[in-house]
Amino acid sequence: MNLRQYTAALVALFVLLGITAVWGVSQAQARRSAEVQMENKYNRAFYEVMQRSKNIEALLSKGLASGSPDNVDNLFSDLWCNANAAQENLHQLPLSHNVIAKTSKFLTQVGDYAYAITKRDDGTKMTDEDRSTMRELYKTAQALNRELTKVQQQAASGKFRWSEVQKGIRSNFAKGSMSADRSFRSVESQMQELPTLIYDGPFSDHLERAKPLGVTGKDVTAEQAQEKARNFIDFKGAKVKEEKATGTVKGKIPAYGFEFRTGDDNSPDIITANVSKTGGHVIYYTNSRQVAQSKISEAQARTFAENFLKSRGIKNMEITYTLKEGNTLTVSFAYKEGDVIVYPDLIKVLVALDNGQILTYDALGYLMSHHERDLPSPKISISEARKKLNPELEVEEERMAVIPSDGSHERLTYEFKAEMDGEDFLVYINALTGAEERIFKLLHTPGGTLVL
Amino acid sequence: MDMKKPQYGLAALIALSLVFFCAGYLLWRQGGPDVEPRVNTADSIAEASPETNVDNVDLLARVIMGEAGEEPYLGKVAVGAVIMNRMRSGSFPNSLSGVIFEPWAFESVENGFIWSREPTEDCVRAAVEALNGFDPTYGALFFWNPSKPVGPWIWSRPIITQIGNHVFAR
Repeated sequence: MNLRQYTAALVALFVLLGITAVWGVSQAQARRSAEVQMENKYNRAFYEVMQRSKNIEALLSKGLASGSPDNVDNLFSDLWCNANAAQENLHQLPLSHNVIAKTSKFLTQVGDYAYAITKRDDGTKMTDEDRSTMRELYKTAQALNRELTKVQQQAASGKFRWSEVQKGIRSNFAKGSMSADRSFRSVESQMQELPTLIYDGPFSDHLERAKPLGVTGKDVTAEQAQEKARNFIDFKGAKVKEEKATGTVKGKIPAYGFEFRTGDDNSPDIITANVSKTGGHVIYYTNSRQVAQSKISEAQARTFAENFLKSRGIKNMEITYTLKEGNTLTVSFAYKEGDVIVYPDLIKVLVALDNGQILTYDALGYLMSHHERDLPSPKISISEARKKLNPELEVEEERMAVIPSDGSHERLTYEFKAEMDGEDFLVYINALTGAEERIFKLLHTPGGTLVL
Repeated sequence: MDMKKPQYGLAALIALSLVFFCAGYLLWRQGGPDVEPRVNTADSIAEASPETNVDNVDLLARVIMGEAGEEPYLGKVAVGAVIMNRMRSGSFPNSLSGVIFEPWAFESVENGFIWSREPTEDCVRAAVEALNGFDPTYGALFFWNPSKPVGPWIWSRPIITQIGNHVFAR
């Protein structure tokens, strides 16, 4: 009796143990296969970086060997494409950012340099500067490939595995003890001496050093700035219960920060504002108030936005674009100089559709770029420009516009709003050269028109 | 009399193994932490017009929720702005998804929290403002909570401003 009970219990126990063992093994296998898959994914990304980087070196070397590399078929567009692909894959590797930042920057520079040259529409040939930039890039590419090969050898000889690196980062973030990060550190050290390159692309260095052109006037004290903010913000009659300075901001435009508190005490609305130290311009403010159900129309909201800017002494601004999202309407304004719309001088406001309050005001674009412009007189007439358009386009509206180029320059253009096959486009023709600078597709959504 | 002791022990053993078995079974059924992606309304709109930024709003709002869910509204916009600034920087990927899914970039992406909670209304509004180009950080590329441990290298970055519990740096 006892023995039978005992045996039955023992058998039950072993059965359970057996099931647990099977389950455990299957879990271990699943984990291993998931790890291998991840490892393969990381290896694919790494080998892609290597291959693309070698392509870059080869293309740069061909460019240097050629007498007129801008004539060699696809050389610069290949370069651009390879640099983009290398950068994209580099960022998929499980490495901490400080180990790949400079390598990534280098790849961006290569792509940007190539892009700037392919985009050059005024027929300029490779200059001596372009050529010396190319030589610098080539030298760096050689160094990069030497180092990448070392990393590859370490990976292939099993010195580290990418998925182990992953665990290492989580547990020893500060120690940096994993060897893939260490491997890459030597790559990164080769990138240290990266020179400041001269070209004009969307990522070029000089963009970060841009000076605010619209910040004029004398320096103001914190008290004066606070008063400016208080008079500027659209409180919509709400009583300010508390206000305080929150310190200074070391951004592109040095500024004072302020906070205003309105609404009921349990869930207050907080309005944060930044005012420039020079001239006391309000750079932005934003109100955290939750917007209730829409009560006013979009047209009314536009009027609220326009009246707001006028009452704050910001003149000659024209609405260029609106977008409705939830119970708010974003209204973008651009400066108008005579008949010319100046897109870089941009102000955005966010209007609450429950009571028309201006919740957010953002003039960073305006303050960075607004200045007295000496606009050149157009070299081609608007009818000449119209002839440059695709004949299938049906022009609906036309005007002159200043648009930003990829770099830091501005271009005077004719803007044509035109229709083709039931779709709307904006086409920009350079008013000096007649070149087609840019084309946007307009996408009409219930919220507003999106520009692609 | 003696019999009782081994019987108790045996019963306990069987009960214990049953508990283990059940726990194991439950774990197995669940298959790890709860990170199942959820279908949401934004997806269906995005499908209707694949080119709009509706899908971007949702993705960005989720990261804002994960990284700055407890922050004041401006702190939420600021985190969204950092992501937008990274897209424009040479040392980060050039696309929104590239920046967000870069390994180790955002804790809430790594641990899957961005998929476990629906973003609140003010996270969505913050995402819209960041996508519209509003940047209270003036070009910051990094943010961190100074009261939590972070890698030492990050302190070498020039700090621009503090918003809520986060400092923002270039």
